[in-house]
Amino acid sequence: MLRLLAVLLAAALLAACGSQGRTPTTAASAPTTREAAAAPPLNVGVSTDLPGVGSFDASAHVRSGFDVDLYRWLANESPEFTPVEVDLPIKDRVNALVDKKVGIVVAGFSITDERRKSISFAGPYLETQQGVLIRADDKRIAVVNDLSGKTVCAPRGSTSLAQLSQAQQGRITIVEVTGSQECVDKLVAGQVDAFSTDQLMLYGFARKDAARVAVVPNLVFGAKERYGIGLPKGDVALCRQLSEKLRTFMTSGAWEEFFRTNFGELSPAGYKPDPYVLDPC
Amino acid sequence: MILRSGLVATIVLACIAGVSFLTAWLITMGSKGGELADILSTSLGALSLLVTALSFSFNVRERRRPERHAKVHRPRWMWVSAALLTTALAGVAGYFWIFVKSDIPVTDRAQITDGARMKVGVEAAIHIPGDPPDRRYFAFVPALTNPTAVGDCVGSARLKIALTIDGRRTQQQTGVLPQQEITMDLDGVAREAKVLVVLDMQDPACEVDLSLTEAVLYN
Repeated sequence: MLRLLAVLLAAALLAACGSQGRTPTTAASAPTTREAAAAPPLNVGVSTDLPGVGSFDASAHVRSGFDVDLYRWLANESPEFTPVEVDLPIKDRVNALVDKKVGIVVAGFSITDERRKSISFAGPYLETQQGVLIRADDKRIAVVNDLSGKTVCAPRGSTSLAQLSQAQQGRITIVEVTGSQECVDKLVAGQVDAFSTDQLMLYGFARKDAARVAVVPNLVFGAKERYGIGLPKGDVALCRQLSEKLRTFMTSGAWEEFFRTNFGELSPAGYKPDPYVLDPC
Repeated sequence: MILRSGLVATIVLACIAGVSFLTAWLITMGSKGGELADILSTSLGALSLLVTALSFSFNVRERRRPERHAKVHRPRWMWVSAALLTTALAGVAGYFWIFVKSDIPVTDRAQITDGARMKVGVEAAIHIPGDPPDRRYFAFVPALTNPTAVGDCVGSARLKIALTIDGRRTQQQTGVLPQQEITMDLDGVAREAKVLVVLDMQDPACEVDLSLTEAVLYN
């Protein structure tokens, strides 16, 4: 009996050893879909004060925006995905994932190499660049150099703030605030000259309050802001699953529909990433 | 009989443990380690099968023989197995030292030109040490670093890699990701070999630094 076992073991060893090789199996063999029955509701970190992208009207208790449409579309497409919204200030998005307070973040979340050190991303699903919002009657700012000597507001913990500091070093006065709406309020109140963040977000604010604020046309600067879905670091299976869904989202016509719904007549050219060149997981 | 079966099982289990450990360890070394793991695991696997078969054959003969004396002596198959094991290990070691030769780590010696602040479409060169290089293959792991806090640059980057041998462009690979191990065959180099790296990123504003996580010359 023992001899038979030994023979079987040796044969199995021989068969197994010969096929050992260079193909990594850790990520590639991971499941591509999650078990529907076993999946509990997933906490989704969302923004509340980014009109067009993700906002929450507390009085009507209604959420709206491209990101909201996106995660609802994902839920519709994936029965195993039951989102539970968790409101997140911009500065808390990375930590909420690291501390496992949320499972994913869909909140105008720019993919950056710096953030990739702590978390992972699936995407991008939207692209924009940093722009400038001014008071509708203010004609002083038309090009980036016009920002010199001005007071500019930016949300704390955002890439916009980092980029503004880098690009306009010493030439402007930066006012940091917690939320984007706070910047708009300060702009309207005349406490700052401009509000600088992702242009797409600024179009959302301008669409909401066109009488008082406007986006400076053709004024963009810095690196591309490529929005992705934030994930816990190293969750390759979830990243692949979401990337596949995002590709479908961008090629099925849903992307265009939601863009129109949330940004009106704004041309989608320049805001849609190539669905076939998503970032690798 | 029980003693012999126990010995066989011990040898087989030792082989399994040894081969598993060596295989796992070698695979972590990349493609070169993978090849060695193949050689070692196949030879040791074959050996363990041989030992088992030998012991089985000796035991059958033993069983047929009438039990004449109860004197305990070491069975012949053990000596044959030990000799085979020693020969196999010596063979593998000899093959390694004579034909494969030891690896030459060149991570710090491989010079990179135009690899700082690379933008989309820029070409950098990795100069493979040696004139010509001392080994047949060059394995390396390119790394990109975004020196700023903004931009999706490294994460979206793809590299186009080409080998030039004595000025002639030969092997080419596209869609290579940062931190992916690349192996180049340097067969036929008379004077010098270098690897050209062209960067593709989704954002033209991105600037990244090229470096090597690891570079090894091997046979």
